[in-house]
Amino acid sequence: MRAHVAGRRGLQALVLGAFCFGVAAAMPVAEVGYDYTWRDPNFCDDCHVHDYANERYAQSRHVGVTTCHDCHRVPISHYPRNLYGVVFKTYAGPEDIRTPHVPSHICASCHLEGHDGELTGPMTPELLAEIVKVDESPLHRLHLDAKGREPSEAQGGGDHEDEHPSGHPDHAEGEGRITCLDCHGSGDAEAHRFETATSNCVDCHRGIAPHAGQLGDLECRDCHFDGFLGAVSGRAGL
Amino acid sequence: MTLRVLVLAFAGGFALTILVGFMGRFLWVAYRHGGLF
Repeated sequence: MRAHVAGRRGLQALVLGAFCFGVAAAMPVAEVGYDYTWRDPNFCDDCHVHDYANERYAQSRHVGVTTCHDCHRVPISHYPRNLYGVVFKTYAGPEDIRTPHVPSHICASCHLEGHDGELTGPMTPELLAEIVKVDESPLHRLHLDAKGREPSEAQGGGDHEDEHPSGHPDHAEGEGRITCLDCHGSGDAEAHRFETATSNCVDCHRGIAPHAGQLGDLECRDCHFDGFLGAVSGRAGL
Repeated sequence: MTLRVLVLAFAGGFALTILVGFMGRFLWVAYRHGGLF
């Protein structure tokens, strides 16, 4: 009887050991799987084939510190829906794919003071603290606080034939506020090109766009850049 | 019989860890990020 109990306990210990061994063996596999699906852009590339966006991203300052998921916060239903699309549908090109929506509060989580977003990429808190916050830069503040999307006539507005040429999906929300992507990510071909260009300014400030012969060889940033970065009001552009 | 039980125990531990440590973690973080729908 005693030998039987001892044998049974021995078997239980063996089973428990085998279970723990299974857990230990799976942990690195689970970590690799999580890293691949959450931190490796190749996972997203399995469905989202967009070389132009990848190239832009590789050139941007976001590379290596943010992941696709940090900015493109899709619901869980996105994954089975995309899998179905990849298997059963044929997409001709980027025009068949909905432009991803990245609301301004996502940008704010890194680029504005006191906006803590949940970042799951490799960005460390130390690096996050080092990122220049644009709250106090005079021209960013002016754009962030603007009640409407139209600049005044003196600012080159009021003369638009189209409401907004870039047609970013943020505008469809009807919030009537200027969003980060209005200036830092315009059309599809500009995906992941976060730097602004004169064309972004001229989209709204059409009336004061530099023309040939009149500062025509200058970019808007040549004079107004300080106003978007400096924390001292009254500098260029104000 | 004993070997089969041991293999099953190993597979159970392995599968449970993949389910929780990978799938569960992925789904939880994805839910926190973007919700269900």
